[in-house]
Amino acid sequence: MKYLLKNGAVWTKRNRIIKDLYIDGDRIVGGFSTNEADRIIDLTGLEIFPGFVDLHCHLREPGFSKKETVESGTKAAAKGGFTTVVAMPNTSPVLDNPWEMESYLKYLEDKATVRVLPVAPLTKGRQGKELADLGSLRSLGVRFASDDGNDIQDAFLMRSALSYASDHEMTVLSHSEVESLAQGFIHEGYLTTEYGIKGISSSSESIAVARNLLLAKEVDARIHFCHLSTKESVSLIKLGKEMGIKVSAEVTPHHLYFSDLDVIPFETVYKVNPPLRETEDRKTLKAALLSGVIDVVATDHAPHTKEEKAKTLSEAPFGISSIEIAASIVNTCFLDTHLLYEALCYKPYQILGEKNDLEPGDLADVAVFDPNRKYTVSADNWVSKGTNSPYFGKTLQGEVCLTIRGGKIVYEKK
Amino acid sequence: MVTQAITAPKRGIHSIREMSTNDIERILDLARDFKAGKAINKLSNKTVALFFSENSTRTKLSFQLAATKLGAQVLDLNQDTSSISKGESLADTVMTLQAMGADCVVVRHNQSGITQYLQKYVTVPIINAGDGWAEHPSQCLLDLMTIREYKRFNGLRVLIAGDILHSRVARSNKIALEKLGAKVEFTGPKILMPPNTQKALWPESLTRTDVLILLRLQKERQTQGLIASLDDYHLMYGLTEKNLELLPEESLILHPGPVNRGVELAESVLEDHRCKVQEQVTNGVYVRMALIALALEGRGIVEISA
Repeated sequence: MKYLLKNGAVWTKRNRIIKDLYIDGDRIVGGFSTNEADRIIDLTGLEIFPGFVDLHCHLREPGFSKKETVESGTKAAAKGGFTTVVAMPNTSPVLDNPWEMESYLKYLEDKATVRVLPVAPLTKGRQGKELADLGSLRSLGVRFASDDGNDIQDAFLMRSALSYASDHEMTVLSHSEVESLAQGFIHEGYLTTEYGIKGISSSSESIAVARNLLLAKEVDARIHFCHLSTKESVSLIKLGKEMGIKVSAEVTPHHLYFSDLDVIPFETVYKVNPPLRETEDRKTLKAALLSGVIDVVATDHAPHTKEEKAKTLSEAPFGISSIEIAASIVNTCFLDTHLLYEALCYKPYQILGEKNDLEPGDLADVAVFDPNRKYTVSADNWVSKGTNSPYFGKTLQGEVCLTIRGGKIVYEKK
Repeated sequence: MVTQAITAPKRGIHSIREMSTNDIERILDLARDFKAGKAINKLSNKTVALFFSENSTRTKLSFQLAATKLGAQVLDLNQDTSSISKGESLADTVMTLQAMGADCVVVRHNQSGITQYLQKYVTVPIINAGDGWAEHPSQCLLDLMTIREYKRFNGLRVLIAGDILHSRVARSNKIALEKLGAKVEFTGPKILMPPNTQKALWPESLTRTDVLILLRLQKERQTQGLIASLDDYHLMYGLTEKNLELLPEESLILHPGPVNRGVELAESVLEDHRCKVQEQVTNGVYVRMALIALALEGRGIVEISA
């Protein structure tokens, strides 16, 4: 198919240019005559971004298809403007060997609406005991490794894992956490004191960030920090960058939008790990994203079933489902399309080691965004199977209206 | 399977936080009347279910006795032998108790906020008999009843000492006493104080204390790495005989029990004229009678005349 996207503001190489964009097959092309176009779409007043990249989501397959499937999760991602998503390995079974990973990659080709990059576990079964077969997984094209929510507690093994991953040019995605300080359910602070709820201390994250940074430095590994939530972690990342460590970092939409003062006590929809922290933390995270200390926004989209989230605060699982509205949340927080480009396109493509400048020859992965449209988030047209969203009823500004993946329209707002 | 939660107006007795000072005074007045011999006899066909999933002897017996004194039947669900141990959810369990005809369910559980959670699933009132670290309304109210027999709340200086972090008693008492105009301070080992909590000087603060509430120290705090030893705790944070001398003559000493002799207080404190531990236990039954009666009144089951 040939598409002509007319009059939009095209984001390319950190510039914004009003021009027409030509798509032929799966590629951006230099041009063709108007009457050759199968469809001409007028995008006056809209922003045309390279397709968004989510470096952190949970698609739940194999093992937890009641929460989400590759099909439903990638449809939700397409609605959110994402054309590439990085899927965490907390599946059942954990895909820690090349034969299972190979058949999973085939399954993705069949079911996924957008490109999915699966993450290898660092250790077998994510058990934190023995290293996984990262070499063979890398040769299948897997670029990231992580034990996801279970940070390797043993520092010696973590250092080995970082070293082994870097040997195969894999980036380690680090959910940094000292487990003994993270046995609670919400941020340790005002609410835990007031209501007698077990808390998760800020130090549970920042201590582990410090440890993992220094280990990465020692073995010259590339490390990416997931969902940072504390101001102390931000200071450490800044220090790490000054020290020349190969480090990047992400923040989630919910840590930018909410603080612990927004949490309704005992409401499980706010139960997320790392927890929603204090106003000061939120301010610091926003400033760090603007200054580039934090590189990207990643969703940590974590869908769960209604039944699971209907359990008690102690029993319900951690997680917020947000991939389909992530760009709207970020835009609402900053009202800054340049930041959106940096945090969801430019920097994440850099971390992937790829380029997408919407130039002739580039793959036609495109997200069209209306930065001015306001809407109220509703469960009615929700795409993800996970309805665990604290955003229902909130009014957001900015909405994805069209997503193109490899030259195919994968989402179009009606 | 999780059954759909119903949404309904405020029912049950879950926390001191959601009570007004009028609510609190009404409960205390009714408890006082019961103590003075007031009787209501409309509960003979009613059933009070007890669902205690944490060890508790005195609170459970106290609720049991309170229900019996009101003429109600008692249905006692023991978690060890119940279907909870077969994996039934807590919500399903209280729904079963309701279906069996319980008119009121008294719940003790180690999860904070559990009674408000369970109340969404049933129409019969749930009474909180202690939830996690959060609240212990009946203990708080019996403390208030005991204090009120000697003191006025307005301007009262209260010091709560010990393991504040894990204490639902400390939390409920602070909320209630501050609502009633008292000034409440906490003291104890720093590691057992919740974040952002002011810590009063110990033992110096004792000289300006009207009511001292000592908390029970769970012995497992030592193996959890939170205290060094029971002896060290007693010497540094306990009400020793020496510290007792700092406490004004007309002050009161309360303790929710059971007491660890030689840990949070010296043996001899229990014989001191200021110590009201036994009166607290006595008042506990009357407070719990009041809570059961009022919970059922809220459902239109009984009428409590003035």
